[in-house]
Amino acid sequence: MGFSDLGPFSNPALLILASLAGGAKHGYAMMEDIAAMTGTHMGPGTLYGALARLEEGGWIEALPSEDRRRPYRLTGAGAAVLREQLAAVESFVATGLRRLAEQ
Amino acid sequence: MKIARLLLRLYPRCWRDRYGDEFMAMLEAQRLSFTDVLDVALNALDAHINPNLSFADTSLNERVRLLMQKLRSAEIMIFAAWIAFVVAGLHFNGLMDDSPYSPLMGNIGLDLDLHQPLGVTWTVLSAGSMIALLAVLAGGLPLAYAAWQRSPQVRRFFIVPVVAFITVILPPSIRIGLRLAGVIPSHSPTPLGMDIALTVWLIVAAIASTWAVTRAISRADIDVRLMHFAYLPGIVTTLAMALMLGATIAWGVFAHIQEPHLFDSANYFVGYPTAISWGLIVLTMTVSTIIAAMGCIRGMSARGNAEDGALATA
Repeated sequence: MGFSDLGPFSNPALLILASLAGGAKHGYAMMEDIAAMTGTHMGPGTLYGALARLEEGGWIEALPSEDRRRPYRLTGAGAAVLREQLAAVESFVATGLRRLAEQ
Repeated sequence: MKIARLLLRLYPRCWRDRYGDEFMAMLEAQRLSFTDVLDVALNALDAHINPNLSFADTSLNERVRLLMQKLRSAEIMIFAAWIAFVVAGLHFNGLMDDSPYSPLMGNIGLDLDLHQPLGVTWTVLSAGSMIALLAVLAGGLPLAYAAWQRSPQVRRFFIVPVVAFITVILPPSIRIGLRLAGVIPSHSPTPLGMDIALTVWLIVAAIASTWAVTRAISRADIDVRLMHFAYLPGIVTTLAMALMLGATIAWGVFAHIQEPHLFDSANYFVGYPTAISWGLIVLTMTVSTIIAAMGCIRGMSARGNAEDGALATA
């Protein structure tokens, strides 16, 4: 499964990867971190739908549970795919800004 | 938190085994809005459709085994949905017998008269029912035969559909016999009480038969290749159900346009389809078709992931 195969889950998945790039976190902490980063609330079902796909794809891995909460961390493959996706976004942003400046 | 527990119950068991505790902890840590509840419900549906999402900690062999189990349950889902659809269809057919719509249906058969849309939709419905029946037989008979041959302990379950069929078919057969023998007038309508009792009994017999057959198939030792094969007729059955649903909806629309005095009668207990009886039939058919479609998607996901797993194991 490639990252693009995540379909509608690719955006939430990217946000989760970006959140975990700042360190291991459990579900609720990710949700709060994503809200602080983007100003949007990610629904709990969407978060776990994307989390399960990221774990299935080997981009994140679960750490031992702390009480009932289970933290997750980025794997090497996850960091690589995040870098690749952010580079694509960066290039898109740069192109958009350049075109606006040329107007 | 009761709502969190209820929401968690929407997910498949293996998903709950893997993510249940942490998901509950997260739900309990926040105040859930209506959109959160909707979000969880939609994603629970996604987890049912994509069973592979629950197996992150599972070994490859175990994963393939679980996915094959999912494929089996997907096929059982399609079969059960088809039975519910058939019950609704039989009821529709029963209401149509000798109904005032008959003269408006034209020649029902392959020679379609497009000026008689009621007849056209009815013919499409009949053709769809034949396609679905043939597909169920093509996929289901090999499974039933394999279950009978390889798992003697499940044979007793097959007695239920046979007994149910006999008890459903017997009362109308006796009535026809009595009519032919002249004991009761040949054109006397079936008493309303008997009609209702037969319909209720048909539903009970269908539920009992479905339960017994699905029990037998889910407990039997069936070859994986047969399970794979049976999935394709399952798709055909679902498509035929969608076709029949479309034809039934179209029939109602044409009946409303052509014969509003018959169709728009606010009465269920008449000897022909009215808006109410048609609406209930369409509702049953719609729910059945949605369940069968979910079975197809679930089966497709299980088949695809099981094949990936089998390739990886090889």
